[in-house]
Amino acid sequence: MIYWSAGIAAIAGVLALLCCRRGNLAGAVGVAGTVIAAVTGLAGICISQPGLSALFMLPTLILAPAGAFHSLAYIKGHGNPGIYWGFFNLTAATMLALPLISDFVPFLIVWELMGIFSFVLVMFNYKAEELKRVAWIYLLACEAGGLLLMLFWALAHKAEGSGYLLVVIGMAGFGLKAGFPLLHLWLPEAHPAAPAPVSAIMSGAMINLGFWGILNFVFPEAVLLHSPLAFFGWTLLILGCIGSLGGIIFAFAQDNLKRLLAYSSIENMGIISMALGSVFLAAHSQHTEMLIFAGLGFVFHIINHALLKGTLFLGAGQVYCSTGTLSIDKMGGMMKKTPVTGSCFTLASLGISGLPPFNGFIGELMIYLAAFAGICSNSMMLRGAGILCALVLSLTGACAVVAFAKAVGGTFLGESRQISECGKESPWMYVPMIVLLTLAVLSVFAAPLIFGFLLKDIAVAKNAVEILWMTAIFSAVFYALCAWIFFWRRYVLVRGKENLSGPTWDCGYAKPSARMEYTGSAVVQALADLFNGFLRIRRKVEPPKGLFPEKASFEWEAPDGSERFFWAPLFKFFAGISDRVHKFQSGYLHMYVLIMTIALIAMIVWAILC
Amino acid sequence: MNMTVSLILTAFMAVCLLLSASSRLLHCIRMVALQGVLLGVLPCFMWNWESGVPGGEFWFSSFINIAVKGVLLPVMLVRAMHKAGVKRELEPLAGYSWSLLIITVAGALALWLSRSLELSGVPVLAVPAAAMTVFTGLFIIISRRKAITQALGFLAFENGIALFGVAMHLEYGFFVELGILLDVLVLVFVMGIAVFQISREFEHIDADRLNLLTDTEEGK
Repeated sequence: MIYWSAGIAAIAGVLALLCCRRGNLAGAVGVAGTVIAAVTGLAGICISQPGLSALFMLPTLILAPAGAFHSLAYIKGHGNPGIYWGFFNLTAATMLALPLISDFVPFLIVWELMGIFSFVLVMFNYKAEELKRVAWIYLLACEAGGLLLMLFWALAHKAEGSGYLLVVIGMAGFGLKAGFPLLHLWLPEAHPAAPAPVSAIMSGAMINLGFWGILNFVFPEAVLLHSPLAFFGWTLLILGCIGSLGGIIFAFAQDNLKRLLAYSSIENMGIISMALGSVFLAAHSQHTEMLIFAGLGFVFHIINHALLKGTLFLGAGQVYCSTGTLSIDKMGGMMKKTPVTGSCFTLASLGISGLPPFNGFIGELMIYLAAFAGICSNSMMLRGAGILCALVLSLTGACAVVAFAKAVGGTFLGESRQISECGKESPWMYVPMIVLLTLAVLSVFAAPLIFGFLLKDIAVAKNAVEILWMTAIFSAVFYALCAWIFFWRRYVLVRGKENLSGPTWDCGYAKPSARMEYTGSAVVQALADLFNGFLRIRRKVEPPKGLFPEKASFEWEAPDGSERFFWAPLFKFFAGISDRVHKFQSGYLHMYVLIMTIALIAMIVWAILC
Repeated sequence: MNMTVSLILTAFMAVCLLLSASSRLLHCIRMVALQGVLLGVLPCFMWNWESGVPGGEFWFSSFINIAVKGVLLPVMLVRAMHKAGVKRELEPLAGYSWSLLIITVAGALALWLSRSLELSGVPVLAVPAAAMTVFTGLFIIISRRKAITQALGFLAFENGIALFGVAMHLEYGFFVELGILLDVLVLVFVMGIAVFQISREFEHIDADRLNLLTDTEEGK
């Protein structure tokens, strides 16, 4: 049953490709394919209970239909819907198949297919000029990951094994997909360029699969290590700390809404990685309480991130469709034009910043509790890990609030700064968002039930389940309170009073203009200055001069640090070497044969002499 | 019997020297044809006749070697030569005296190689003769301009490999040889067509000027 889910998506993909010429038919086939695949997959999970595989299939099962419905409106008017729908379903099929494959070689083949299929989706709007560079980076990242995994496989089959090198190569190969720090390069490039539903699926479901690979293939190869649990624990924890903090610091400095969300994905992958690291460390010291908390945090955060980031990317897609831009500083006041999208985006932002009554909070709470359990233990290692984890998590949470305050405030509140025309929101686009958000809210209440059922035989887990019940009750009270305040303010307070409407941001000016209001960049400037040693923001300032200044301008951007200071110099170095080697490609056949002959003779002589 | 085998192998090496020093294409083609015939004859002298008459495979392989390498391919090359209207390799990239010197050195290298290989049950001169033929073939490909000469070089190269196989009584030598032979046959066919086309389009068949077709900046 569960295998059918991937099969149905694949069949739908091929069918959609076949009816390339008929856009509506392809759309219908595509949507039907994802929906049926999701239903089959969910039923399959209920029946066969595949354990950890289910966790990694769930995000795809939820996001694929949501993304498909959203795409119906999103790709309207674009070149070739058949191609889009075909590869959309094929990508979903590979993503569903990956957690079900236990042999490495078939896994690797499907993994590569996933990269190539999603590459087509990223490239979908191929006529845009800037997309060429992005597509190149994405393809490079996919293929580099595949190459590393092939190397990993080859080394794993060496007779005596290669210990740390092997594990590092495997982690790098999967880390390229999971957006580990330094290897995250493709995320902030590919997500803004790809169609929004594709970004939602890639960010919410695809990059998680990197963790599946690490758990399922890299970890079993680590038997030769001195103490594999501690090694994996510390590596994942430290990578997660760097990733989450670095990701969110870069996130709030971005002006492009989807780029901000992409950096936030890096941050969330970091948090998931921290949770996984804590799981390994707790297992190493056999600290059951911490193990359960960290494990719950890991599971929760994957689901939460999928639901919330899916909502956010779909919201960004609606904003882009309405305004034609993703620049936060140019937008503003979108709440009036796209109220449903705005509300969903705001609530999802609250959730993903880890603020209390939403499901994002529960995930982070579990990781905090794991960290505190570590701090309270009597092992020095767990104490250190707990302190590190709690510190980084709180800093990350604070920065995330800033980043999403900027995103929501800059995009949806106030008055529109530079956008004159704005399209209406489409129900195809906001209904999936509402569904995802509802699921996110429901998961707060479903969590204690589900985990109470799954962990009923484990005595130590009782504590955790109780905490889940408490948060659920607390959230219910909070939601009731919110609903009451909303109705009270909206209907009770205004009863019998005159309804006035005026401009937002009047601020006591005689002639206020929308361009006077705070921009997103202005909101985060203080914090960005604080972290400038890390961010290295590029500024171009032309200050006003004289008593009657004619013009003044201010520009700033925060390009990716790893690209500027690590990858670009590295690639430049190799390009220099390649240029020198290129001289050998003279075009003379004689030269080529001569080089080959010399190599042949050298090899024979070497074989004889050694 | 051993004497004859040594003579044939020496003839192989002498042909290599002649190939490297001769500018007349017809002469070179005849030399390579001679190599092919020698290759076909060689197994008959290496066979231990007291142990009985060899099987059909043996005769077939010899016959194919003589027919294809000694007759068919040389005839095709001669026809291609006449079609393209070239008689001599006029301006080789390495002069004839230098070529002779280099092939002599290659022969010395081949002798040294065979000494370090330490094979038993193989005629003393077989490995150096084969290696020298291989080197000569490669050298001709490198140092000559005309496409026909280069095909000739490839043929000589293949003769060297076949000589290895014959001399060492490889178990599946027959199949390997047939495989290689097929390659060479296809190559010469393609060559024949290509030479004709090239000479018609460019009025010459100098392979070194084909780099004008390259995709790099320098070639343009």
